[in-house]
Amino acid sequence: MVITLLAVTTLTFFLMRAIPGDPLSSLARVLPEQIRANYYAKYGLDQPLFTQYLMYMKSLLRGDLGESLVNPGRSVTATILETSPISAQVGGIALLVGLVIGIALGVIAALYKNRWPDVLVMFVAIIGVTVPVFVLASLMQYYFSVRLRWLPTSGWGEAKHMIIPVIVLSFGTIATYARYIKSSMLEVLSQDYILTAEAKGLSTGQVIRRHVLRNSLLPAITILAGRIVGIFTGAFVIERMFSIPGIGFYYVSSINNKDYSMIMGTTVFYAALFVIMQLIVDIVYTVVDPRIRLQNKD
Amino acid sequence: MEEQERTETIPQEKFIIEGCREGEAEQMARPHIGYVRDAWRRFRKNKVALIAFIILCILVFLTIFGPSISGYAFEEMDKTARNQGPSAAHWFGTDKLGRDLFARVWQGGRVSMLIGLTGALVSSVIGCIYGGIAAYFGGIVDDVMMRIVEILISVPYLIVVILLSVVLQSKSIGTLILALTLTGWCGVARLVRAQMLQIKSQEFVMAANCLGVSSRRIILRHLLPNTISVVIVTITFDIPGYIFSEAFLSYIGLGVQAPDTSWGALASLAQANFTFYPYQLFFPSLMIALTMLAFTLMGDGLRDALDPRLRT
Amino acid sequence: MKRKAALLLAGCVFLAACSGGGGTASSTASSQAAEEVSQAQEETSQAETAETEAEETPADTAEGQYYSSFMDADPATLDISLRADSYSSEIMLNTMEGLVRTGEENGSYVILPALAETWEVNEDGTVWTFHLRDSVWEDGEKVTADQFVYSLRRSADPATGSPSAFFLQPILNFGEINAGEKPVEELGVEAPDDNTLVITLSQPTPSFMMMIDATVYYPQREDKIAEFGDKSGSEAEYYISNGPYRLESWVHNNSIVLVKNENYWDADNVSIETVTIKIMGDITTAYNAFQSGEIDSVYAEALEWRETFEAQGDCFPVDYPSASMGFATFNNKDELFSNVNMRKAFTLAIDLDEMNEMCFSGMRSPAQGWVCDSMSVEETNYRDRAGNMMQAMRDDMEAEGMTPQDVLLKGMEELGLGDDPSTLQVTMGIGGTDEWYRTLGEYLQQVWKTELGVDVTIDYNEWGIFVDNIMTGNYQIGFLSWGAYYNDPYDVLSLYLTDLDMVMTGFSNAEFDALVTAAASEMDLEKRIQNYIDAEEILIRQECVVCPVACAEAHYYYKNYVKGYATMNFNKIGLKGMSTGER
Repeated sequence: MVITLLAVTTLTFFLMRAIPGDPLSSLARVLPEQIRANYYAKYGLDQPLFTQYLMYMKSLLRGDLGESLVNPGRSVTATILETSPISAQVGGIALLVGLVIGIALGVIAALYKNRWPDVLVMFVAIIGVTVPVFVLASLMQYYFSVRLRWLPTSGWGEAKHMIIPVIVLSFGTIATYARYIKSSMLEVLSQDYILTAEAKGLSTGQVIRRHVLRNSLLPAITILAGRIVGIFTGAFVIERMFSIPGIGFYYVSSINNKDYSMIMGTTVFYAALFVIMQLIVDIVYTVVDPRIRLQNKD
Repeated sequence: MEEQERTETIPQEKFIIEGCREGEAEQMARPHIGYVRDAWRRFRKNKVALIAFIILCILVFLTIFGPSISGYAFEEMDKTARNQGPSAAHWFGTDKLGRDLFARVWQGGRVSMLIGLTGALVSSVIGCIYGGIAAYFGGIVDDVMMRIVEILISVPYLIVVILLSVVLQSKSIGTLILALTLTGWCGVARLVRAQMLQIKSQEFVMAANCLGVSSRRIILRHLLPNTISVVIVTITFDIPGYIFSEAFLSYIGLGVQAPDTSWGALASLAQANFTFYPYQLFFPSLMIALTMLAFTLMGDGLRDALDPRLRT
Repeated sequence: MKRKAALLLAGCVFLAACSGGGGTASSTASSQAAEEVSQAQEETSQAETAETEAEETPADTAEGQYYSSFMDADPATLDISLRADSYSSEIMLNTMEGLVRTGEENGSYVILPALAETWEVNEDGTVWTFHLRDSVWEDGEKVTADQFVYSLRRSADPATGSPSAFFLQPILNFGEINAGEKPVEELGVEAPDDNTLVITLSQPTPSFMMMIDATVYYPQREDKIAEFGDKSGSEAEYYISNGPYRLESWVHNNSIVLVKNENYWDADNVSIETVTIKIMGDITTAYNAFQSGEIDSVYAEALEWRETFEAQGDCFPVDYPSASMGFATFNNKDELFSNVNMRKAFTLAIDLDEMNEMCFSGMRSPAQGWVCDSMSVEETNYRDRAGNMMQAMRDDMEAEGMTPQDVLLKGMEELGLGDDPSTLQVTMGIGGTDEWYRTLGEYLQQVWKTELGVDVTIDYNEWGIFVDNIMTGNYQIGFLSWGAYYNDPYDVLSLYLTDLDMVMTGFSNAEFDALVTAAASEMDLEKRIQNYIDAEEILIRQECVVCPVACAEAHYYYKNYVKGYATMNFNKIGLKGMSTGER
């Protein structure tokens, strides 16, 4: 895990610095040479790249992610700690809603294969993936806040601010899960042990709950790992549209602005979350399906 | 005693030592119908999948001939016909510069279809092989391979593709597909691995193992076909995914090069004013949705055909 | 993501900019009828939503006037020496007070005294003395001349790494200090007493008064900077103001709340008590918020929105040209574009009026030269005197009976490239890829193909890479915008001085250099204007170094109850002059 993080950090550091441009170019201004030179000197950007790398790694080991180059005075660590819970709040609720509805739809679609509920679910899934989030979000924003005036267009702090973002965000999850659950359920339904269970006289509900669902959750769990990491890293488009002070903004803007320390900070944060999630998922696999053995027993 | 006597009555030389032809041992399981032939037989029986196939053929036909049907060149501007809704003159309407959208949508389809398909195909092939190897061998191999995936996923994609555009100094379709599939296969690899972890501990794999079937053959003939349903869902999701990603890559200049266009580019350009000119967004999105629909239905058909457990 | 906004509108977008006097009377008369109609409509539609509205906005009876606005990005920092973006500049404009403020009166700019009650300049125009009024910071501490000295020194100090320090260029010894060759104490600023500030310049600078309302000329508190340390200006609690408003709260990427500063010297003339500035990264959100009444002003970027707002009836438009020029820059060192006729052919092929219609929905003003229409030399509008140079260039061509393609062929002949335009290999770089840039690039590509017969490749790139290409001279044609920092043609003409060459054209012309340099220190107004005109003639009409396309225009919409808004680009009164009548 440490090695993964080290590799990610190193790779990102050098790749990032290989891209033309610097934090000053985000100002969209051509600045006099002297002004540039002073700026570089202040942030140590005039040092040899490898020295800068060592300096960064040294402070990283101390747990210090440094200070933003574009927002002077704002510590990267503090920014991440302040903004990611906000993203997680919106993302988490959306994920939960999406999961419940998505799995339910998937089950329905599988049980009524090739009949109208299945077609309907399929339709929702296709819309959910092909309609850009942006479009859905602005349509909802327009109808609920301009036309009906039920909800504020944007903002943060109260429950009413979260309603549209949550609905919009959960749409993608619903689509994905409905599809995956349906297809893996169909597969499980054709297995012999389901036949056995039915033959034993278990009710449909019991069969689905005890045997089918449990065995069709595997792909769902794999995707879930990514999605959970995703809620902490925010949703750029949605956060921007609804003025949600989450972390998604920093992922995109730091790269656009060449805010080196922020790029590194968000990347390390993401990588750490991802690695931990991966670990958890591997463990969950064995819990959900005892047949999976992670170690090679030979 | 009796038995012994009986065998003794058959002369030794009447026996021929055939030996065990490795790899074919498993085929004794049941009478052999070719996997591909069997799949095709079942696919043909699926009406829905056939319809999807026809839709797809129509789409392909239109992307080839569509741009010349409307009588307007796709890059031709018309100052007097800007932002017009669909009409007899312009079937899909016109865009901000007065260009005929019918011609543009089909012109755009060429790139989008190509990208959606190759992108999804390349990433699933790589992903399947990678995930398959990781899961089958397990242990340290799995560990190392999964760590590599983690690293690839964690390094910001935007940085990688920006750098790619700088280093390659080329904006050809090849570069574009490379950028798209660079990390795209990682998701498939993880899904396939998870699925395979489950399957590989099942009895039939153990049986194949005992019979001395080679690893390559087990992965290709037993493990992969059994993960096919997940892979197919992924491919169908990936197709619109790649079509949109192409538009995203145009953000760093890697997308289709002007004056050429694509569905993703048309859709993302239309977003700015979609409340006023919804048709500019509708038609390219519709084509993306239709393509996805066709592939989803076909995918389901294929899945039913390819998944050995659904054999009838 | 808001590249375009940052680039095009930098230095000229002040969403809530407004004037102290004039213009208020005319604002309401015409739109009152419309207001009544809309009110009637809304009464029916709003019956059920009255509740939400009431809790949404602060009660206007008890709290006094309030105003809501938006910005499309979060300010980068509110540290006076470190800021460089236009969003922080807008907040500072309303929370800080400098020496003077630029206002407007009957369509002309006026310089209004702010902290400097009076000022005088010595005869050769190099020593400026400002007499400060007695005033205090929000915490009651006195504003002294020393704080100005400290602020200017801090910005000039190379250790500060200030990106805006080049504003101090005219001040004596700035160059040497910023390069670390002289101690910061030698900067040409002094405070003989608490209420007197003396600024010495290295050469006469007639436009100096136009420059000193820049944020970098605001005073700073040494004690506070020491107390805040690195965090200065990063949060509301690390910021102190002496202006019309104080910073009440700042939630990054969400909202900023300003509250009237009772300690402000001119607090009696500040009408609005609470200002809420929402950060809306997506302009569609702002449009929706404006329609639903959550914000009181918005700007329209597209014609369609303009029509929507006009139809809405509860708001009125305020349009004015800004000082941001969009232009195609030619690499004058490139094999093809080292030839003046090639540059002219590519420039003349573009019908600027048509382009304005097609690419900008007629929302900009077609370029008449390099200097934007809104710029003036002191109180004289520059463009009125200089005339339309783009048209003059076209007239020159037509007088010779030529078409743009003839000019191109002439250039090709001079370069020995034969007579087939389709053999030319030309690439145009564009540093942006959204709908706006795409339309622009594809339009130009098509125009050059039909008018000149040249197939131009459009190379879209991420901004950083694009700028890098421009800076290293690795381009043929590039599209850029340049917003003037202050209101004097020198600001934009000096970009092409041989020594500066800020947009990397590779252009160098001794006569041009002489004219512009002389104008910079020319105290006689008429001579100065003539110098600028002569310089622009060389730059555009004769040499066609770049191809100016269109000036950005501001298209604001205010709700009918808003009064005291700006109608001119360099107006820096801000929210101070604003009020909201009966809502």
